[in-house]
Amino acid sequence: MSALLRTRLKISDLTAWTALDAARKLLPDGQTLQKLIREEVFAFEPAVGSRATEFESELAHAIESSNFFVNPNKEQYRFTRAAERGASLAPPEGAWGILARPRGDTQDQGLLERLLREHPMKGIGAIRRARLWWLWTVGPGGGADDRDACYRAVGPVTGSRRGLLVNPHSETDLRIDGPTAWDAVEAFLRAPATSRREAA
Amino acid sequence: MLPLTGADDATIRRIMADEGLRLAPGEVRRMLELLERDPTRVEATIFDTMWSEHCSYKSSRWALKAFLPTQSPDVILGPGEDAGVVRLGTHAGVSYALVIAHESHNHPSQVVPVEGAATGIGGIVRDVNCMGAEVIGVLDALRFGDPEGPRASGVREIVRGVVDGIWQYGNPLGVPNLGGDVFFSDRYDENCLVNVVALGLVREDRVVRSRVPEAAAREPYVLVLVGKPTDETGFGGASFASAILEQDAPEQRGHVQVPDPFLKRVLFEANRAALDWLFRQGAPFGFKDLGAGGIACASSELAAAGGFGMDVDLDLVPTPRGEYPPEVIACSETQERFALVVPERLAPKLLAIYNEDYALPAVYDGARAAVIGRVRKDPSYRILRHGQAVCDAPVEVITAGIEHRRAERPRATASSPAPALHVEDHGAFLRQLIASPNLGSRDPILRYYDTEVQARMAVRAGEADASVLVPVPGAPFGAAITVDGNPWYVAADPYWGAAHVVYEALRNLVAVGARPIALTDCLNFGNPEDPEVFDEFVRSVRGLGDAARAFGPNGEAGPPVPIVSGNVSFYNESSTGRSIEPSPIVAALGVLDDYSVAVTSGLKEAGASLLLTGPRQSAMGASQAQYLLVGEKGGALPSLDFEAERRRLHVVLEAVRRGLVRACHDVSDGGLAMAAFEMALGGWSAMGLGLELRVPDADGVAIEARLYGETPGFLLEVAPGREPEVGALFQKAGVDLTAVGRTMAEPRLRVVSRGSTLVDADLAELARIHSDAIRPYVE
Amino acid sequence: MARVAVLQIPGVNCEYETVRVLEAVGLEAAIVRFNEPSSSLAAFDAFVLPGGFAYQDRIRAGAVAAKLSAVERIAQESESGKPVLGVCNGAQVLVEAGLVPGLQKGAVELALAPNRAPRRQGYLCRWVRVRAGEGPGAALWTSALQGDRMAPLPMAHGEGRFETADPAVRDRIEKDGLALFRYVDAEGRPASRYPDDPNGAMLQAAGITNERGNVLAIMPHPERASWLFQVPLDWRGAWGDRRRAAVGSRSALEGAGPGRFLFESLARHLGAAKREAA
Repeated sequence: MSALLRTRLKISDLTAWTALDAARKLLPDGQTLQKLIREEVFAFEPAVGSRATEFESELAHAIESSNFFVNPNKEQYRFTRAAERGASLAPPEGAWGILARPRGDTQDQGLLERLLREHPMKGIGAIRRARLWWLWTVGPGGGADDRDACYRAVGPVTGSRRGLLVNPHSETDLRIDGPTAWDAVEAFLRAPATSRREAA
Repeated sequence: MLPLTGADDATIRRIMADEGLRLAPGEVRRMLELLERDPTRVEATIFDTMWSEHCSYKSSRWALKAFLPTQSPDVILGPGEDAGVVRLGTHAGVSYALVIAHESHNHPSQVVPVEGAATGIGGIVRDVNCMGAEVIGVLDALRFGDPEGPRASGVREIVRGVVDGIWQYGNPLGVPNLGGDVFFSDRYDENCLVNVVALGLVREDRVVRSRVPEAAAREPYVLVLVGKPTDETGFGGASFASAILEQDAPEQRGHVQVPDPFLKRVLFEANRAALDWLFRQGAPFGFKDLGAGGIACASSELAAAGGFGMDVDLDLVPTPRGEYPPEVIACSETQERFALVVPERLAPKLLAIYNEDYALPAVYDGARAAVIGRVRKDPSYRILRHGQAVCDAPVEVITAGIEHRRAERPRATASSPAPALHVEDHGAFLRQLIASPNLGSRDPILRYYDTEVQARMAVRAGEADASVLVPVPGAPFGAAITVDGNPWYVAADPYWGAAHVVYEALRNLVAVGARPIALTDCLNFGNPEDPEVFDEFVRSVRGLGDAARAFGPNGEAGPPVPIVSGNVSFYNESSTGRSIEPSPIVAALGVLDDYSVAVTSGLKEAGASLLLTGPRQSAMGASQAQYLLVGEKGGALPSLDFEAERRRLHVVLEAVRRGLVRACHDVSDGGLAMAAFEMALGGWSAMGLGLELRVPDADGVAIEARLYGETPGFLLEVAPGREPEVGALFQKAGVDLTAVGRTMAEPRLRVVSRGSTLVDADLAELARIHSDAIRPYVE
Repeated sequence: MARVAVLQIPGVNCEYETVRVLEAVGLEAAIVRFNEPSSSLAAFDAFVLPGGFAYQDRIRAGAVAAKLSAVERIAQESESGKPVLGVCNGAQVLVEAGLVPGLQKGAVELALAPNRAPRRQGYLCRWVRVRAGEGPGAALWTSALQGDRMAPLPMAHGEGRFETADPAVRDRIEKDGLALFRYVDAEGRPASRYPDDPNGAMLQAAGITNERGNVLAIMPHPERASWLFQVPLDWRGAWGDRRRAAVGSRSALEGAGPGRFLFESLARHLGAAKREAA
């Protein structure tokens, strides 16, 4: 089980603003995007034969006392130890999410090396990273959205006017429609991406 | 109104603290004297900003005025506006000028390195753009703490953040990076320096002034605000705390200025179109960027400079949703904004260029151009909110400024004998030298910067002592630029250290074949209220001024290299009050009548002679080698003879211009050995060349000082057969020249002395050590 | 004279040097803003999407710009065979808009992923070597390229790694020679390691065309290497020798640089097309 760090800008997130603006133009008639938030997710996976408890205290200290991951002047964060993370990743009230990570890389080796150089600690096997887009969509008259249609419109890019937030040739994604078991999220972050042909 | 009239010091301090203002009781009384009544909150906030050290130069102004030369026949506009303007040349009937500005963004970069450094670039390019110029380059002088010291981890975070901020802003903006320098020293552990320089190009007849034009006496003129909607970002006083994700505390953005290079790029394009259109209308106009003090500062300065008054209506200022207090709208330093003063009849079309053609509102939520005020023919300056005046005073009261005379006291220095420096194994020491933080390759940083955009670059940062670009495509002239500043030198001796800084910058220009035409300075010091710090400041300014005056073609009798722009940054110190090293940083700008003569420092052919000018001295104080050998930063500096140096620089310039020199490098940090290594590196990477350096003799000077001492000089590669011509030129000028070795086809660096080989190393190996030196701090 | 439109999407920043080299090879070039009536684009004979940071590369490089109606219009114009060149950010837009490789109309079949290199993350600016192949784009884009068909060019990007999740797309690109430009080492062999291979692109691809060859997405910047003075003085090889020999001669330095061939080739193609039409 991994420890988790989630970060988000507290100064204006210009990327999120541009994404919101671009996504609104792509949604099918009747579907409205009310709000969009971008988060970065870091999962710290124990090395084989280790447990997260071996590094969590030192990691928490590194996060709190340095600007390595988070600069409190511009970012907010939540660090959750493996034992405290609960059963599932739950979207904020009224939102659903798209969790995206690089296709070819299931871990950020460079970041791990740098972390261990600046803040030596034992027991971390991999840092797995993803970006999490939270979307608040509603249907006609503020009613229920057509989630599949919204996902097709602003999720993975399949055509010049279809999709936005993920390019499936360089990224792979997981839709977070409701509470999603952390085990499933971790499996997604860990799994080598299959080629589209194989997937089909 | 703030009830300040008649209040005692304690009451004044309490009221100021309550308002989040920093005016001292004496300053408050001066404000009351000027206003002849209590100030409104907006007025007090304006004075607080305008009388800050940053805006008012209240401690430094007298010294700058007294000691720095600012005029020469090349100068079109010296210090006083946002940037200096100097003549470049005439091509196809059009006269061109270069625009240069230099600033610091130290404190913000320490707090939020990425945004701090980015807004540093963002601010300096605005200063140049608002003179009507296209920005054609930026440079950055960076000073970081010890990357291997007790605070190494934090220092490296700042290094990475600052480098990220520079490329993440500069590259999207489409302005090439022309280089800069990086210096590591533990006195910057808690206070990094980020100094930025921007260079611009403008037609001489299209230089725009930051003032209401005289024509405003004859027809109505309005004030147009362009860019990002005004919010509380960059408004002083707000505090922000760390909050965790779920708390959803109201955003406390305050201090952090949010940079947006995307909006800025679009603004630059829109400004280009808008200015071009205004010039074609033939009506005079004024243009200014918004920096510290925001709308209030820019509008009052525009008015005062033209001898007019102004009414600014805050109700007309575009803001994001939500209500902001008038002092926030009037004084916030929200990024990416400009102000124009134009005839009212032209405003509708001007607004359309920004809002429709360049679609500002689609680029950034709420961005636009809007009329927010009117020029008044009488000199009163008013800011209105909901029809009420929240500021109402004669404009010269607002822009009156303030001065403080600070005490000076020389720092007591214990004169200890110079430490004995002994190098046993020169091969091993050379490897240590080239891998040290201050001498390691800057390539890992430079490769993050777009050096190629605009396609004007003829010589890049890292290839030579200065960058050379071709500002006007098709025209023969080139512009060369460099930025320098050795803090250990200035700490060791503020006057001579600062003079060395100027000459180092000038040498860098001369080495590429450029004639120096202007300097800028950014003076980074500790607390000016500390007499020892202020003494260092004053001595440094004297040193800068004297060195700049001494260089002119006729020595002190002729025109100086003028200092046309600059900035003073005080209060650079740690939380415990430990000051940074005194850090004047100088940028030097030069012109080549024919850019094709520019040479780089890399060797060009095998079998050529290496010649040295600049006799080696014994002094190794403040040198890199001394620090590496005994951990000592201070000591006696090599002497600097202005007249001898002036002659040396002029004859080297002449030799390069005549094409007698194939490669040229100045001798500075790391001494002769380092200069030779860096020249070999360029030749090695281009053609697999190497060199043999014969250590020159010098009476009574130890081998360590001859090889690693930092006595200034130049190392020249001269084409085979041209040595006599070069020798004659130097002899005629009365400047020394010594043969110190040859280039060779073998890719090795060899150092020999009186028949014995001190170093014989494979250049590929040395190159690897050198290029990896600071990589771990950056990547 | 053939007319070329240089599309100014908010955030691009290479429009002026692009115009300069187009004019140098005898073409008429105009900067067209993204929000001008897209019908005005029909009057042009060719299109360049210049480098820069359209929408500051937010979300992904090219992702937002690819949805613009001006880009859609250029896609339509390309169907009649009009040349379309995307350089760096322009290449990223063409890929995100599905114009390259365009095997299946309207589908996005590639990505330009973040560079992948040992110990080197993020943006990278340096000179690299490319060699032109013999694919369907060769006639249009490389007819003026002499000799060993190699050219040093500067690159400046953080997201330049051509990648696809579909092995069939990769096979087609390889088999049909759509990777018109590939990164090579000093000897002209496909680059096998950093920095010859600067970003880890599939097939060492530096530039990829569509099947017809009239749409080219190239990551390095030929417009920044169109005059000899732009070549670094310490560059190894023939172009470096030429640059070093030209010190002191402005006329030599004002001569063509290694990237000029791309625009010369385009001019020849457009000239021939005009003559044919006449």
